Amino acid sequence: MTTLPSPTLELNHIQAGALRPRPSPYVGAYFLLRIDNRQAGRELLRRLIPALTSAAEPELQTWLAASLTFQGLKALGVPQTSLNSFPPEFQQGMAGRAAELGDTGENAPDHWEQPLGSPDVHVVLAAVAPDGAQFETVVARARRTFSDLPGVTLIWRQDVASLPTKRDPFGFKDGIGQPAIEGSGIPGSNPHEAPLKAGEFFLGYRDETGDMPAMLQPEVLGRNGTYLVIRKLHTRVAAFRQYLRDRAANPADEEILAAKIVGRWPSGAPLALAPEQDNSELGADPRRNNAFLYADDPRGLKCPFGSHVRRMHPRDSVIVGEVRLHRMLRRGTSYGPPLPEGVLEDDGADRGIMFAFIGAHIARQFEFVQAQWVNDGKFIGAPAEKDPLIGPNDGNGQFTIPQQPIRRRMQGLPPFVINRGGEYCFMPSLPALRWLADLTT
Amino acid sequence: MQTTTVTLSKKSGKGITDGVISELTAFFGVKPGCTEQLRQAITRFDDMLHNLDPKANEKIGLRDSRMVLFDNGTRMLWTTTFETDWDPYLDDALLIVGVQHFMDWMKYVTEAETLTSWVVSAGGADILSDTNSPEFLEVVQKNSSGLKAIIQSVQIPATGYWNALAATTIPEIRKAQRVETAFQQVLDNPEAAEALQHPALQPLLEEAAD
Repeated sequence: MTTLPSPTLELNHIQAGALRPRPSPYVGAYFLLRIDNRQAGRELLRRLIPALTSAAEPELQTWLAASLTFQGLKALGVPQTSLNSFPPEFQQGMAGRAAELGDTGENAPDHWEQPLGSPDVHVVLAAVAPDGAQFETVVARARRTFSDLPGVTLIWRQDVASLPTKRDPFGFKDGIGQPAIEGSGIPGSNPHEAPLKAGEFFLGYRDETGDMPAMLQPEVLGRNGTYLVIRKLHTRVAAFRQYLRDRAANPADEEILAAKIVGRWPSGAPLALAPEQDNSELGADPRRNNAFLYADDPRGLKCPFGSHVRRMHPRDSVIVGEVRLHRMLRRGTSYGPPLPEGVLEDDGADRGIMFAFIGAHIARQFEFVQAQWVNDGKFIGAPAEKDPLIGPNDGNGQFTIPQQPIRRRMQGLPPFVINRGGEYCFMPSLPALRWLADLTT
Repeated sequence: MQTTTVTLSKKSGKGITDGVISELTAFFGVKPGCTEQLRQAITRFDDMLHNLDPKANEKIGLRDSRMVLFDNGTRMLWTTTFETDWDPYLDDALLIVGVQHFMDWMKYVTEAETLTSWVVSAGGADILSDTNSPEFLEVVQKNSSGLKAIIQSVQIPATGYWNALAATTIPEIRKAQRVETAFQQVLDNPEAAEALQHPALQPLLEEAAD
C-alpha cells in the first residue's frame, strides 16, 4: 500500500468543498443569495463560518461551501484596493466574458436563466451529501444562516442528484478523473500523472509556471482561497440519441459512435484501455479506469484526438499547449429527470449538468480549455472541429474518427449542450471569510 | 523568496489573426552598450529554435520568429506567428521553450530592467552570466508572470496581416506531405494507372498527371 506524503497545504483553512471530491451517489443543491445591505451580508458570513467544514476533515462526505461573486464582494463593502486586486476576468463575471467563452446565440447571456449572469448574484452556497437524510440536515444548516436574515434574499435554487443510473444525462459514468495536488494528501486518479503544484488550485502557493497566482490584497483574503466557476448546462439527450441512431449501422454501432464522441464507454472504461468494446469491470474500478496515457495512440485510432475526454485532458498527446497549465478540478453534478432509455423524442424536461470548476486561474484554466480546446480544434490540427459532445456546434459540425482502413467522419453535428448561465465565484478560505465578516467599512 | 512587482500595464497580448494564425509584434529598447551582446543572444535564440524538437514546437504552435535590430542597434523588433491565439498560450510557450532562453536576450532590453535588477538583487550580478544555472532558473521562474507582462506591454497588434497558408495548420500540412509522398509511391507503381480507374479514386486520378 502506497503511503502518501503528509499534507503540506493548510487544509484546516481551505473549505472542504474546494478539495474534497463529491460523494457518489450524491444529493445536493446550489443556493444563490443576494445581499441587500452589507451588515446583513457580514452577519450571513458570521453564521456561515461555523456551518462550513475545512478540508482537514478526513473522509468527509457531507459539506457546505460558500463562495462570493465580484458583485457580492462589492455588496459586502470590500475596500476598493482589495476589489482591484482580483483578476479582470473575475471582475467582469461570466456574462461579461461571453465573447471569450463563445457564449453566443442560444448560449448568450440574453437567454440565460434568471438571475444567472445578473448583478444580483452575490453568494453561492453549495450543499452536498451522500443521501437524502444527510442532505436535509446540511440544507437545514444552510437555511438557518439566511432564512430569518433581513437584507439577505434567496434568489435561486438548483437541486442536483445522481441519476438512478449513476451516470450523466447522456448515459455515461462521470466524475472519474481528478488530478493529484501536491501537499493535499489526497491521491489523484491517474498514477501516470505527477501531482500538480498546489498553486494551480489555491492562492498562496507556487503553481506549475514556478510563479505564484496573483495574490489578493490583503494576503489573508487570498491565501488558501480558490475560484469556483459554475455553469448550468442543459443537455439535449434526445437529440444526441437521434443523431447516433441516424448515423449508426446498428445498435452496436450506435454505442461505438457514442463512445468515440465521449472518449469512454458508458461504464466509464476509457477507449485508451478498451478500444473495441465496453468493459464494465474496468469502468467501475477507480484504480484502473483513469490509469492511462495516450502516447501509444498517436493517431487517435483508439481514442480520437477530438473526443470529449481527450480534449478536456490531452495528457501526453502532442497538441499545442502544455497540459499541466490547464488542468481543472471538476465537480459536475446532474440535475433533472433522466430521459428513459430508448426514448428519442425530447419530452421538454430541463435536464443537464451543473458544471463546476475549481482552480486558481480562471483565465488559464477554465477559460482556456473552453475557448481553445472545446470551442476550437486548432490545437489538434483540426480547425474545423469543435468538441463533439459539449462544443457549440451549429448543425454543420464535423468530427473525425480515425479508423483503419478508412477514417470515419461524422457531419452535421448539432449542439448537444446549451449554456443556461453561470457565474465566476471566489471561494475564500475560512480565515478570509472571518476577515470579510469583520469588515467595518 | 522575494517576488518582484512589475508595474507594467495589464493588457492582453492579442494580435490580429488570419485564418488559424495569430501574429505577435513587439518593440523593445536595447540597453545602451548592449547591442552586440543582444545580437549574439538573438543568434543563440535562433539556433535554439532551429534545433527545437519538432514535437516541442508543435506544443508551442510557433510558425515563425523574426528579430530585427534597427535604429543603429538601439531598438529591436520581434515578430512571431502562432497557430492559435497567441496570448492564451504564452505561459505554455515560456514553460516549453524554457524561460532561460528568453531571459538570455531579454536581459539586454530596457523593458526588462525591473526583472533583471531583481534577479541581480536576489542572487547577485553573477547569476545573470549563467542563464543555465539552477539558481538563475529558479529565480526567473518564480517571476515568470513578469516575463509575460513585459512581452504583453510592448506588443502592438498589427494593422494588417496576411499569410498565404492561413487556413492550414502544421499538422494538416504534415498530413498533406505524407499523403503526397504516399501518392507518389502509388504513382511509381507500374499498376497505378489500372488501380486508379475505380470511380472512388477519380479525384486522385485527376491529380496523377503531373
